Amino acid sequence: MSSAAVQAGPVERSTAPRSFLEIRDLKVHFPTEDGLVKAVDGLSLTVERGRTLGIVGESGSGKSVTSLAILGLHKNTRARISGEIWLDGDELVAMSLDDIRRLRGDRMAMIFQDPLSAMHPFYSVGAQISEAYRVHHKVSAKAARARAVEMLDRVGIPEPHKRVDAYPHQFSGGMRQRAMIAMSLSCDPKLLIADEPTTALDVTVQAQILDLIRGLQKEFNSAVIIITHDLGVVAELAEDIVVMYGGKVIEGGNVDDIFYRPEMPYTWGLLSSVPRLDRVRTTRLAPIPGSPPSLINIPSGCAFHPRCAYSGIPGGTRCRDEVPELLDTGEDHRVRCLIEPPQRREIFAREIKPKL
Amino acid sequence: MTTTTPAEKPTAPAADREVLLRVEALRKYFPITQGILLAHKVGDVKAVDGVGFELRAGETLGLVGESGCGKSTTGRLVSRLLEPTGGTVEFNGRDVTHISPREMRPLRRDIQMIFQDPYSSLNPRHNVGTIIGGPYHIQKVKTERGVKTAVQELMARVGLNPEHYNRYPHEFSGGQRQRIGIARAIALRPRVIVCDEPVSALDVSIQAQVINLLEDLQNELQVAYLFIAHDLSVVRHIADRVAVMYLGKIMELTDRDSIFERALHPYTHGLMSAIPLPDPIKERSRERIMLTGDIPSPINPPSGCVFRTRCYKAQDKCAVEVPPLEEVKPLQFVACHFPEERKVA
Ligand SMILES: Nc1ncnc2c1ncn2[C@@H]1O[C@H](COP(=O)(O)OP(=O)(O)O)[C@@H](O)[C@H]1O
Ligand SMILES: Nc1ncnc2c1ncn2[C@@H]1O[C@H](COP(=O)(O)OP(=O)(O)O)[C@@H](O)[C@H]1O
Ligand code: SF4
Ligand SMILES: [Mg+2]
Ligand SMILES: [Mg+2]
Repeated sequence: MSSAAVQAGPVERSTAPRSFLEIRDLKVHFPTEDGLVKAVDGLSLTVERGRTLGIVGESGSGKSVTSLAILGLHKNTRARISGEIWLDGDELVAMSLDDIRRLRGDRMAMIFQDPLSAMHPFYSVGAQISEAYRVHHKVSAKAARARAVEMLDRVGIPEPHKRVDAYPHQFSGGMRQRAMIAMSLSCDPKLLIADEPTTALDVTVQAQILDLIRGLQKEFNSAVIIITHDLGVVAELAEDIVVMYGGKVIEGGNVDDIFYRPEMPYTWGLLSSVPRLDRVRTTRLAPIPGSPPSLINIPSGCAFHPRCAYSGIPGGTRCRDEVPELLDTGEDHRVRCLIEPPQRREIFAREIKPKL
Repeated sequence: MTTTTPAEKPTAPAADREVLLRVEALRKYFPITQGILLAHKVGDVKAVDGVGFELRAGETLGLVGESGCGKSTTGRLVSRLLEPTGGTVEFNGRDVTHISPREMRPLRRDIQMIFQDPYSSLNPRHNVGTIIGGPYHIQKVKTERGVKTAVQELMARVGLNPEHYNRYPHEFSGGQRQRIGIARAIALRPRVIVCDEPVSALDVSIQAQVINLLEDLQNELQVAYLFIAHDLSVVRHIADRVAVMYLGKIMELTDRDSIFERALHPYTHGLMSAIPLPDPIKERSRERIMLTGDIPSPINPPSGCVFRTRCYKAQDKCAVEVPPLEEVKPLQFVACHFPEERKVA
């Protein structure tokens, strides 16, 4: 199988999944006092073992809600969930909370932006790693502790024999992130979801952590989802990318499709907005006008249309009235936009690419 | 309203412009005390430890470095929100290092600040009109057509709807709150604005809007920015010169293109090579200088060169002799015993 990519269109329920992780038409809606928050609204994607999928998008686009849905963390809450999440042959949306709990740890695991939210302040780092390990392995306390030391060593914590008894607050930010990674990986999860794992860290520490995630993935051949708003991080780590906007995937493809042949105006906007470290400054930045939409009041038609400079092109008020589907534009490259593909490519070549 | 693009920005050599701020050997030590009844000092956090630079009219000096290296403290010392432990701050040729609160008022007109988290720096109980108009009242400044008109002009200038004069900070998005902070900062036409991570909390599309606004305002008002950021890409875009800090000291200081293309300090190399580029092909072929370990504590910084514990070029000399910040190449100041040119971006 070549890649993790986006599924086009709605899929018949219960056709056997072909990919290791396959999400089909996922919806996660939260009823609130202000209205229904459509945090994820028809999302489909796939990831294979041994590959890394980057999910990018601005804050509030539904990235974290998607990852929590995979882990079953919306179960038994007010959230309304529909669609299918197939992981290694099992469907998770319909699965009971008890069953899904059993999958956490060795089938899938997550690392968060803030390690303190995932670690208990009153237990030593070693105790927490041992605990996570013993959920899936019937071993003695001594063997579990040995595993904790081994994992701390593996993630690059110096003097793991001593550090194993330290408490989370005694670690620096980067060390704590390593400790959480050690905890998440203690059972060799087949799917690792990293939600903004380096956003709170300095770039020098970020480089170490990304390097660590890459190394561990190679070693365990896991599927990795890296969620971030930083285009540099996905360029470095991901092989495939989906771009989210307003709870939907608006473009997906391999990393080169997204960086060198993007076709959705929002992706163009993201790429044009970032200042570049590797270029001599020549022009002003080209920001996307306006701000990201509220998920209570997602714009009609193409959710991006109020901010899109090209919404006049499909003709009439189509962008306001018609919800574009996520359609194939190349091999494993999918785009949600009403402009015809040849014209999108022409606009990109003429107006966007020269300024990137 | 001028809309000069940065490309057209006057590129008079920085050296020709008038020096507004001159900072020399600046230090800020925060004492650490122990004991509750009889508190006694057991040490110091050497947050800023001998920093010197000049800021010229209308220019942007970027101040970069990892968290905890003393950027914000430097900004607060310069705008005199903190009392320095040592060294001098000169504004417009006048020593303002230890001026009294009364003497401070006129200085506040000339030096303003913008913060990372606009929310915590805006009083939630005041409406936007009161917040932006605040400086006029504090400074007892007369406005031609009344404060409200002046404030609404400022709001329009920074891209806020002047009709939202009576709204409260929580009714605005993060990007709009940053615009409120900017409007307040430019109200009195300051000569210098210390911008402490002004775009770090914003989404990329909003970040670009605010960066463009700051650039336009600089061209219009000829205000100088001390621009503090940990994102070097933003700094490469906005700054004319860049100072790289590490553990309270400046490691390298030079013009923007030299720092990004011809850096001499090993720390500058390590810091820049850690930044992932939004360009996968380049990213795959790029050489990486990985800085290992964590930053040492500023309570007990390493002897000699403070960077030596993480430096790929460190030798015995580095542990014993403090390298001074010296002009190694014309207008390129470096604090390293073994400077060497290297392009890493
Ligand atoms: N439990 C919840 N109840 C109501 N709204 C929620 C909940 N969790 C998330 N949301 C909303 O869903 C949207 C998407 O959130 P999230 O997935 O966290 O975005 P991001 O892309 O920044 O990770 C946001 O508008 C957020 O406020
Ligand atoms: N009021 C204070 N009391 C004690 N230590 C402080 C205080 N303010 C800052 N520090 C310390 O000084 C150092 C520099 O901090 P700061 O200037 O905020 O760094 P930066 O802005 O580069 O992240 C840090 O070690 C910080 O913990
Ligand atoms: S569908 Fe219309 S509004 Fe949406 S991105 Fe394409 S052109 Fe723009
Ligand atoms: Mg999130
Ligand atoms: Mg700071």
